[in-house]
Amino acid sequence: MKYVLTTNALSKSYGRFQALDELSMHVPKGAIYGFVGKNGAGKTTLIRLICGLQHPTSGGYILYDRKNTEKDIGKSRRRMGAVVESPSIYGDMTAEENLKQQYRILGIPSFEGIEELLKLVGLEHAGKKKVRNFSLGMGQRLGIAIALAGNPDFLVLDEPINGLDPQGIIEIRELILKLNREYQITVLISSHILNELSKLATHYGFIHNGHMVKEMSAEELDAACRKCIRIEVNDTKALARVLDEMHIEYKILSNIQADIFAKVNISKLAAALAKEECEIITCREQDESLESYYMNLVGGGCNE
Amino acid sequence: MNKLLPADFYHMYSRKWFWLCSVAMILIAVMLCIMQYTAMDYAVAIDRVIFLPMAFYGVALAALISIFVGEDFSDGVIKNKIISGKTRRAVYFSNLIVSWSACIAVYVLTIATSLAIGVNCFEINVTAGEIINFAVLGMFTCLTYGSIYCTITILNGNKAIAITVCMGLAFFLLFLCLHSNSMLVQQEYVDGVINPHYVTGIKRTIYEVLHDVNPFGQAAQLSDMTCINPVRFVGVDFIWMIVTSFLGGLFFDKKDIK
Repeated sequence: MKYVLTTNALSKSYGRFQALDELSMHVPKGAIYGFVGKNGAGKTTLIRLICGLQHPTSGGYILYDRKNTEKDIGKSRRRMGAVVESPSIYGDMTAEENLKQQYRILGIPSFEGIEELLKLVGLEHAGKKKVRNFSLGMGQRLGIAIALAGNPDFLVLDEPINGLDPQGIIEIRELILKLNREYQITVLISSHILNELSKLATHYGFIHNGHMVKEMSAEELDAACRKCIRIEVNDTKALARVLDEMHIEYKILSNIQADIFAKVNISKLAAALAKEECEIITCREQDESLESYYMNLVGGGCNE
Repeated sequence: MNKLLPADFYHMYSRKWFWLCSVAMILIAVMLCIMQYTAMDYAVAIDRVIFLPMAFYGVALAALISIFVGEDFSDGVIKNKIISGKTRRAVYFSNLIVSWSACIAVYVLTIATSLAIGVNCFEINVTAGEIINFAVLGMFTCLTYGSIYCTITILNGNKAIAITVCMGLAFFLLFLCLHSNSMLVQQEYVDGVINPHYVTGIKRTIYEVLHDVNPFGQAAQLSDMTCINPVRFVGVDFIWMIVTSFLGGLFFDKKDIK
């Protein structure tokens, strides 16, 4: 798998406070990578580091095949756009003027693409309205437009839906999906709003206290969170034979434990198992949401 | 840096702050000319008029440069510059060059105003060459102001604090200049008697160097078109520019931007 960004034991401390603790992450090309963690977990610190706004205390990262210590890391950074915390825009300029200024910063000689960019983020009718009078959602969309000004392949968004109303959240979600699917832009999106992330992300990284707890694909997470019946028997080989005959999907976890991914008639299953001289010891429904999965990963609410 | 310069020039000259500062300095120049013309009971010569606004110039620039550079931090646009692959040094030196240009532009507008009024209303007691020489010295003072305020603001990274620090420093240097000036302008003899406040020897040299090191001291020298030591004057400006650029580039390279 080709990675846009990999970090290797990346650490950052502010005085005695360890914001990132040997964090390793892998953002695959073409993914929407949901970077999940509670407030203060280290999400923004990581984003600041990969954007070059701050320097790691130890460890490093590779962005588009260049190490952060290489002199021409700027070339890799030109392939990314980011909105770190709040959108970086001049409040007393219009959306168009802000984009023109970003074009100047990037050294793009013509302002030709600006109209298209404004249209893409739904700000084509913003007109002469100063950015300071924009709603939160409009500001966020302008921030994304500015991040997109250099036609990046990799977009980093730090908590883009924080404080938005439901309409704004939907607009941003649709925009991110469009950028990923139609423009093949890899997106790293940090958030603590898990339900919203689950509607977007193809990959997840769970961070806790500056440490990467787990990285997984959306499929793996779906499987982990899938509704199932966890059954304990004295012989899982017999259980497998019975379930195969019944054409039921399952996963053997150990000699005595298995997950069954279907609604089964317990009486029929028990009878079939009895014929194979297999006994059911326990049987319970497993249902894990993204939230509960995350809470289990980070050790529940004891750290809140 | 080449790519950043047009953006920073646009940022400086498209905003109200540069024009407000220029208008304020032009008004000060006009007011000082009117005061010199009307309030004195003797004929004031042009050498006391042309560079007189320089006394206020350092304070005005403290506000302008700290607002201009600080705005990039408060609006977060500095993040866009770095994320888009620009080096820290390019960001710093682009800001510095644009700050220098603004300092010189305000200076030229102010001095041109004083000069235009001066040649028409005051006795001309200096040659064009002398005016040009002092104007060039003043330009070096401008660059020093720009270097100091730009470096403080970019290393501070907070607009409000940077404005406070730059203005505070400006007033501190202004008062320091008033003190050194008051010591240096003492007459050796008053009514034929040795003036006890007149400083001599090493003490006088120290006051003179202090007056040159302090850009407000340089402005004070310009304001009455006297210069203790032109070579030292320019040398000190070069030292200020080199030291602030070196420290600014070095520390901004290591600075964590939030």
